[in-house]
Formats: sequence, structure tokens, C-alpha cells
Amino acid sequence: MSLFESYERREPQILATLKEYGISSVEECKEITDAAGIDVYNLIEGIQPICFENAKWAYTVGAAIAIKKNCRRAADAAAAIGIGLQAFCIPGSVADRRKVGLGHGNLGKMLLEEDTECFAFLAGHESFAAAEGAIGIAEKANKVRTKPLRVILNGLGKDAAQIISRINGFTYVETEYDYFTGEVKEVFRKCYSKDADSPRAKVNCYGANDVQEGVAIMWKENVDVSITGN
Amino acid sequence: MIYSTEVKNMCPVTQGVHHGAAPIPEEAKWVQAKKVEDISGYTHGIGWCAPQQGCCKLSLNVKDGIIQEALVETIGCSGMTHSAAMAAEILPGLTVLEALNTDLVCDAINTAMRELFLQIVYGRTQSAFSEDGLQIGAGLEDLGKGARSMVGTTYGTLDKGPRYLELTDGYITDVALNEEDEIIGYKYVNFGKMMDFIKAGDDHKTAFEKASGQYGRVADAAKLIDPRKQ
Repeated sequence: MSLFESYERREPQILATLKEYGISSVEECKEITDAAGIDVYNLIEGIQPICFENAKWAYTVGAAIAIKKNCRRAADAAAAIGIGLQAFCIPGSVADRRKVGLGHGNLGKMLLEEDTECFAFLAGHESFAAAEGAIGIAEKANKVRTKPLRVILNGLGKDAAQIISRINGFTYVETEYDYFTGEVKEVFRKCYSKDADSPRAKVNCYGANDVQEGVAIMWKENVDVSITGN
Repeated sequence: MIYSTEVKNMCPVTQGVHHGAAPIPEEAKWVQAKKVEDISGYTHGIGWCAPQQGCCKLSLNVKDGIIQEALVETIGCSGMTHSAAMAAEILPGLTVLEALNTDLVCDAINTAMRELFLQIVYGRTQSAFSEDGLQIGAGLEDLGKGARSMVGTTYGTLDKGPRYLELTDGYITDVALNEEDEIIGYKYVNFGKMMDFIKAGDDHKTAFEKASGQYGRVADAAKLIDPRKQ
């Protein structure tokens, strides 16, 4: 049985990428990471139990590349992992053409570097769970950062932002936007965690009435990097 | 085919262009769809009946015009569940064109089929950029572990406020309230998982506990209420 989904369609470009780093097979990547004391396969499964097999191997390949490149900074390793992810993109696919793998690696790199001060999850506030990823990212990134990464949630809908804050223990910040001057004012703030110093309490959650207010909130919070869903 | 005398008497003017249809993306190919067998893809359609008492989500995996896999999900109408039972038998094997006019008399399922047809013939499918499309079985995979439909049931009144009865997590057993009686979390049992545990040999109590969980700030709750009774 092949190691992961669509192995045949992925193999040529993975092996071509690996060759550049003096690695001859996907299995060898596992040996390299094991020797470095990193069980990438199970690490990925631990983060997302329902992920595809190819995700676990893509990160294994990426980690092996990072080791071969002798990346000593977490940010450099993240970018190198992106090279592995890119190799798993099927030629001609949207992921391949838009360089999604490299993009993921570089996003990780940005979040790990000190000059990124604030990271925004730009979403529609449509699901309670969508916010969970934000906290996970901040907690992990802060392991290597000297200055903690600030995370905010920003999306359409003030009521929804408040309900999500209440359920997840974030700090809800209500704003009022002046469409004439472009000024955004804070009118209400409430921390929904019992411990105001907890990682969740430090996540400011905003609801915007429209895109203009949303952009003003991003400026107000000095957001450096943001990601969004659909 | 008969031409009228008026048209017959006209002089011919050359029809100088014939590019045909603009191509649509199907399973990672750009197809100039001319016949029903040119249509392939995995996509969804949502339908409703005239009194809007129930609705249907239809997901079809179509290969070369023929429905290979049908997932029929319905809510809100008891009769529709039985029409859905018939649809699972009637739809596979038909072309998407035939499926528009089946013997099914459930308006919601037929409307879902119409909407799905529009999606698929205009190239709006989930598999537009996936080489060879999705495997047969993708519909079942959509249901996730435990193979039950994703259903949300919530209820609210002006006097007594909101209640969560069923969310993606499962059947809500308790809603957690804070000191102000606002919802800050909930406890649930996932029936699909519970049945899988029971089938694997667990006793009912163990299975119930293993399939139970909570979301949000249940630990901070001032009280827990049964959303169906209290």
C-alpha cells in the first residue's frame, strides 16, 4: 500500500525536491526527523486527528528539508517546511499554481518573527470553533518569541463577536465607526475570562458593521499579518 | 423540421463564428460541455417545497453525466424522509438530465436537484480543480465520523431567551450559564460516536461517557440547565 493519498501523482515532484537536499526518499525523511528526535507524523496527527495521511508526510518531508538546510531559527525552519508542503501539491492544481505550500511556510515564518506584532484572524464569526486556531497559533508561536504575539479576531457582526467572546473567554471590544471621518472609537470592552491574564483573555474580539470599519479596526490594532477563510 | 416560406425566400448570410460553449472547470480539466455525458463533478444542491416546511441537501457524484453516488439529507418534514429513502434508490444510474424529472413527488428533493443541476452545468462543483474528481464514497465522507447528518437545532423566545438543542458537536444535554444567565458553553453527547462505541462492545453507560464532551466555558458556569426542560 502506498504511504499516502495520490502517491503516484505526487511522487515525481517530491523526489525532485528531495534530491536538491540530498535525500532519496520519503522514508528517508522519517529517518532524518527521527534521528533529530522529532516524531513529525504523530505530532501532526495530534494537532488534527482527522487529517489526511499526506499531511503527516508532507510535514515530515518539510521537517527533513529544514534539518538538511541546518535551519537553526524556528522562522527559517517554518519557511523550509513550506518547501516540503509545496512538493506535495499536485501539478496543475490550484494549490500548485498559487504556491500554497510555500505560502503556508512563509506565513509560519512571519508569525515567528519579532517584527510581526499582531496577527488577525479575519473571519465571519460564523462558528465558535473557528476561533480556536487563533489561540493555538499564538501559544505555539510564543514558545520561541521574546515578545508575545498578539492575536485579534475581526469579522462582520458585533452581536456574534460578543457571543463568541462570551463562550470562548475572549475580550469583546465594541467599536463605533464614523463613516465621514474614518475614525473608529472603542465604546465598550468586556473580558469574558475569569483570569484576565489567560491567553484567551488577551484575544481581543471585534465585530465590524462593514469592511470599512473592519479595516479601521486593523489599523487601530496595528495588525501586521492577517488570514481569512472564504 | 420545416422552414417557413418567408425564411426560405431570404438570402443566406454567413454565420461566421462557431466557438461553441465557453469551457467550464470539471475535475481539473476545462470542458466545452455539449452533451450530458460531458458533465462530471461532485457538488451540492439545496431545495425546498412550496410551503417551505422542509428542505433537502442533495450531494451527487457525477461521472460522465451519470449519477454514481447520491447523498440525500432532509430536515423539517416527516414525509420527506421517506421520499429521501426512495431517492437513494432512484437517483444512482440516472443521468443528471433524467434526474430532473424522476417519479419523486417531494418538491424539496426535486428543487434540490434543479439547483444542483445549475451548479454542475455551470461548472460550480467542489471537484472543479481536483484531478479525476472525488472518489465514490466522498458523499459518505462528508457525513464524518458516525455517518450522521450535520444538524443544528436552536430555539429562542423573548421571555425565556435562547436554547441550544443540537449542534455539530451532538445532542446538547446541558447549557452552561454564567452569573448573568448568559450562555457560556454547553455539554453534549455525540450519537454517532456513542453508537459506534456500543457496536464495538462498550456498555451503554461507558459509551455515553466516551461520546460526551463540552465546549466553551463550562468550568466557569454558575449553573447548568437542561435546554429541553428548564
